[in-house]
Amino acid sequence: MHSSPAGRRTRLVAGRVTRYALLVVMAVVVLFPIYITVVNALLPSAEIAHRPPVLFPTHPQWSTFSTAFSHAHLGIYLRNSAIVTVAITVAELVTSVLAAYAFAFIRFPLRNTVFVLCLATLMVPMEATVIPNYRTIEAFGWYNTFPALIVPFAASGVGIFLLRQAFLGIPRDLRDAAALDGYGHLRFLMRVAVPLSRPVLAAFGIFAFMGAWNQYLWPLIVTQTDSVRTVPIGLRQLSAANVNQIDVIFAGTLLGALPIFVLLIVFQRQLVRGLTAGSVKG
Amino acid sequence: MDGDLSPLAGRDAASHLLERATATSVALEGVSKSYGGTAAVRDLTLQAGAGELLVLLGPSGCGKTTALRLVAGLESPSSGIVRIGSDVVNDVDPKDRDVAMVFQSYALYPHLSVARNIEFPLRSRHVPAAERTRLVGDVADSLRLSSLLERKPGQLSGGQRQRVALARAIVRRPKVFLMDEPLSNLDAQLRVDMRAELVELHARLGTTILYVTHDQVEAMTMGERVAVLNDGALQQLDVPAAVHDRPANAFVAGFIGSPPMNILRGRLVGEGDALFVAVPGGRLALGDELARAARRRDLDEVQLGVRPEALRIELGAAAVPVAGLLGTIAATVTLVELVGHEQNVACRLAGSQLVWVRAGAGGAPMRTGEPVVLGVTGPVHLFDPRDGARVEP
Repeated sequence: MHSSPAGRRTRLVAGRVTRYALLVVMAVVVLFPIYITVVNALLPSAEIAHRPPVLFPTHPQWSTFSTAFSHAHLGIYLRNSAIVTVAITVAELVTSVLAAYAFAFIRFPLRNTVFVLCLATLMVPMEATVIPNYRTIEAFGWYNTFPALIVPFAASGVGIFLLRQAFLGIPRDLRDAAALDGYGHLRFLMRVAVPLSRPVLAAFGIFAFMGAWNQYLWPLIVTQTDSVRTVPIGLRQLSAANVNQIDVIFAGTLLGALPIFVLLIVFQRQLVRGLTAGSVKG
Repeated sequence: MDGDLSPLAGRDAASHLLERATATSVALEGVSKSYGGTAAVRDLTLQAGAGELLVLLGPSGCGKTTALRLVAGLESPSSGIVRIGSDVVNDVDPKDRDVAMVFQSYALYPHLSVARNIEFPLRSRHVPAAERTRLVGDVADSLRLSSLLERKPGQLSGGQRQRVALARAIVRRPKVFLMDEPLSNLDAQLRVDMRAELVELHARLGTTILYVTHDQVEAMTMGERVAVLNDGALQQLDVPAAVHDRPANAFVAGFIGSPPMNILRGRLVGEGDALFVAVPGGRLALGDELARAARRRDLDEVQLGVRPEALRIELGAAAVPVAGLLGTIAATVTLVELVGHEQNVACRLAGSQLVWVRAGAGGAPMRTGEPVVLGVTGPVHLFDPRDGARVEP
C-alpha cells in the first residue's frame, strides 16, 4: 500500500469525518426526544397528535408554561421535589462521610464485616425493599408525609463506598500529624479529610441529587395528595387525569427537568472527575 | 534557590522562639511492642537526656520508627513504660504529650497554604489569631519561609517542604521533637546542608530531639549519642566515636562505617605467650590485652573485625615490610570503587570471604584479578561467634 503524504492526509480527513458523523448521529439520538418535548410543549394539544408530526411550531403558545403552574400545581411539585431532594442529598452526604471515615480511619471489631454488609445493600434491588419499607413507613404513621419520602434514602451504600475509597487515599501520616497537632477524629474529618475529598464529595452529591430528583416508584407509592407529591408523580397524575392537556404535561416535564439540566451544565467537570475517580490517581 | 545562604537568617526577628527551652528527658523503660505475633520492639530501654539529640539508627524494619511512634503516642506499648520528663505517658493522648513529629513524608496538609500548615497546631490549641500570625511570622523568618507563606505544599521544592514541616513542629515549642527520617527524601547535597541546619537548630532551641535514621553518616555526624537498633532490640547506646571505635557487637561493627567494618571468620592460635588469629591466607598477632581477654573467654573460633582503614594494600607478596604491622593476609582484587580522591577496593581471601580496603588514589592503580597482600595496621576487634558480643580488651 503506498502512503504518499497526500494519501495519508486523505485517510486522516476520512477518519475525522467518520468520527464526527458518528458523534452527530449519537447527539441526534440523545437530543431529539428533548427537542420533541420542547416542540410539543409549544404546540396546541390538537396538533400534537397530528400525522405527520409537526416538527416546528409555527405559532408557539408560550402560555402552556404558565398553565403548568396555575392549573397543574407545578409550583407545589417543584417545591416538594426541592425539599425532598435537598434533604436526601444532605442526609446521604452526612451519613456517608461519617460512615466512610469510620471505615477508613478507625479500627473497631468487625469493621470489614460491617463494611461488606453496607456494600451488600447495593446488590439488593429497590423493588425487593419496596414492600417492607412501605410497611415500616405505614407503621410509623408516615404515609403521605415528607419523612416517608426522605428517611428511607438517608444513607447510601454507594456513598459510603465512594467516600471510603477517597479517604483511604489520604496518607496515614496526615492523620498522625493531625493527632499530634491536637485534632481529634471529627476535627480532622472536617479540616482535612473532607476538604481533600471535595471532588468525590461533589460528584457523589450530584449523583445523589439526580437520583433523588428523578425518583418515581417510591414517591408514587407513599404519596396521596398534591401537598407532598414530587414533580414526576404530579405530572403523572396530571397526565392520567387530563388527556387533553398533554401540552401542559410536556411543559411541566421540561420545567421539572430544568434543575437537573442546570446542575449538569454547572458541575459537568466534577461529574466526569467523579466518574473516573479511583481509575487514575491524580 | 533562596539566595540566602545563612541558615540562621532572621535570627533576631525570631529571638523569642530561639531562647532555649526548659528541656525534658524522654525514656523508654523495658518497652516491647508486637503486632499480632511479630515483635517490632523488644524490651527496649533507652533514655534521651534533657536537651539531647539522640539518634536511633538501624536498618529498615529494626523497630526504630515504632520506638518513635511509641513516644509520640501513635502506638501504645504491649509492655513497658514510656516516660516524658518524670511523667509516665503510656495512657496520655498524643496531643497531650506535647511532642512534635517531623515525618519522612513531611505530612503537610496539601489543601492548606504554608502559613495555614504552620499555624495548624496553634489553631487546635485556641491560640488567638494575632498571636498565631506573630508566631508563624517569626518561625517562618527563622526558617527562610517568609516569601512562601501563601504557597501550597505542592508548589514547593523538597527542601522547602522539609522546612515547612520543621516550622510546623517548632511553632508550638514542644517539649520534645521526634524526627522520622526527615532528610531521606532530599537529594544528596541538600541532605548535607539540612544536616548542618538541624544541628544548628538543635543548638539554638535546646529541645530534646529523638532522631530516627537508617543513614549511619547522618547518625554519626548529628547525634550526641547514637542508639543502634536491630531486630527490635537495642545493640549499643553511646557517643558516635565509641560506637565507631568500640562496637558492642558484630552487628554494630558491620553496620557502622562506609564501607563498614570487615568481619572475618578466624581461629585463635597460641604460640608460646603470643596469640594469633589465623584467617585464610594469613594471620595476625593480637596485642597483650586483647589476647588475655580472648583467653579468658576460652574462645577457639572468633570473628575478627578490621576496619577498611586499618588495612593497607601491598602489591606483590615479596615486598612486605612486616615492621609495624599486626600481620598480613593474601588476597585477590575483585572490585575497585573510586570515591573522589579515595578508592575502596574489595579483595577476596582464599576462603572466599570478601574484605574491603580503603586506599588512597595516589597509590598504584589496582586491577581486578591481581594478587595482593593486605597489611593489617590495626586496630582490630574480636567478637564472640556464639553471640556476636565484643571481646573487650
